[in-house]
Amino acid sequence: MTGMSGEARVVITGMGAITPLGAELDCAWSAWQGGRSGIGPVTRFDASSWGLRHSAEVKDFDARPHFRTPKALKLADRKTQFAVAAASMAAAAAGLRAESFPMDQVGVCIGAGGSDFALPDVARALAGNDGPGCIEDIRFFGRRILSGLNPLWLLSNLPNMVSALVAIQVGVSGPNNTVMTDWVAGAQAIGEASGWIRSGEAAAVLAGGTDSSLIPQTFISGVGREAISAGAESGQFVPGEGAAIFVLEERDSAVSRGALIHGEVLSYATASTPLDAGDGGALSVTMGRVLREAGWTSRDLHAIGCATPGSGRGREAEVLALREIFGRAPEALPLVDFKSRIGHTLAASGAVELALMLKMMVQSPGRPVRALCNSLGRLGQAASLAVSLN
Amino acid sequence: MTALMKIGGSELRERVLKAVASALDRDPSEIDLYASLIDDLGAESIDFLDIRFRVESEFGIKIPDDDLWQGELLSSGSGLLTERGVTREGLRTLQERLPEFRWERFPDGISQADLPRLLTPATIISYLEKRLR
Repeated sequence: MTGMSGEARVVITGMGAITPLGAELDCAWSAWQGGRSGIGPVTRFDASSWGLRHSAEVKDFDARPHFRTPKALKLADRKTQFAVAAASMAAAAAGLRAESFPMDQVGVCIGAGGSDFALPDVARALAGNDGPGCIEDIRFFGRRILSGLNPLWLLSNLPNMVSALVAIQVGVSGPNNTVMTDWVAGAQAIGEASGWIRSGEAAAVLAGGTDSSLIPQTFISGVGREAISAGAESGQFVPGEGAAIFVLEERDSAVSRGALIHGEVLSYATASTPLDAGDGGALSVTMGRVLREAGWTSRDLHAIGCATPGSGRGREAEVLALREIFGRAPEALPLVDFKSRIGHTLAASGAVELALMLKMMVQSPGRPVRALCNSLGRLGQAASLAVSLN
Repeated sequence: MTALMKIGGSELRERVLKAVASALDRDPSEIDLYASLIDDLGAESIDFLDIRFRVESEFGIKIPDDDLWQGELLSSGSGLLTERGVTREGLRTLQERLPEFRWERFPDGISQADLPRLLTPATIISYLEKRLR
């Protein structure tokens, strides 16, 4: 949590997003406004035997134009490609150039999902062609892996590759972190990055989240099961993918260089409690804190982003948290359910939904707009961000 | 036609250029046989790992660490390479082995650290020609 009073104000001066509604934020926003949905049949692999046929996939995405050195694409799995593309668009939109910023004071803080692991490549290496063997025999295993798997496999699967490659491709060399806290990672990365600006640790930060559930082992390791048990086919939990990256900087600096301000990060909080405690848990803690720190009452809000998809333990905890904080039924609150049309973008969700929320806020010109963005993870971790547009 | 092209043969050359091009995200047709992998083609340390793996996979061989330097350039035990750099005789040997290389890049001699900059696709082809003979 970061205290607010008397501290530097953190604003967003650049946004870039890759979403199931479009591989560019303005396209995604137009699609949202037009009532379109990013949900459709799974096409990236054959999921027909898994009982899950729908997902929210990013379509028509080409990372190559966003890479300063395209040969680095071989080090980038899908989520890293999303992040580099979103970051380069955000940096360009914010005018983040060496002439306007000391690039060694521009940081990167990105929430990311787990590694891709390119399992088909691993399987091919283990299959080999030098006769049968037992993969539990370490010599056999090592021989197959070392001779059959490109040594770059390890690099591309390092969890910190996302933020490292974003820094290299955008050309910044300040503080660098990758946040890996499952579905709250994107919101936490933005919150932590805003702390870097307030403390003076960085002049600007490329912050946000990226993830893809459209790889088979992500389904196997939980998303698929979660989706199936939550009733994906009824549209309640749809695995998605995407990224959103923001340029955060101190407000006075943004004003003095004439940058367009898309919103202000007023407060951030994170907490963790078990999901099945039968109360609002961590989410009521984080919402309470950010409202207090922003100096808002529960009636000041114009929009609240839904943290969870349609049903399940997470949704039950969220409903309880909303009742605890706002004293009203969810139906009486200005809730916005982005997941209903872009699916759950997992570690990217806090960031992707913030990007759409900020676009939504621009639609209300001439008056202050106040919004709350919430994230809730499978282990009960929560994060809330209070954002405004003056 | 140069000596190396005669030695390498067109199929070997094409397979090596394809491996190098894939690793460096280029079209094989735009890769000069005598371009420095580092100075002209932008290869970094991890790209050498990638190129070596691709060549090994393509030809079904293992290339030991530093084999390319020792086999095709100069080994540290040859007397042609000292702590101060490549000796005059060493430079002459290199120029004989790599007649097409752009030697004007090194007007002040060659240090040990410069040796990787001499590697070109032609060096790999020449190495493979000996290994596969």
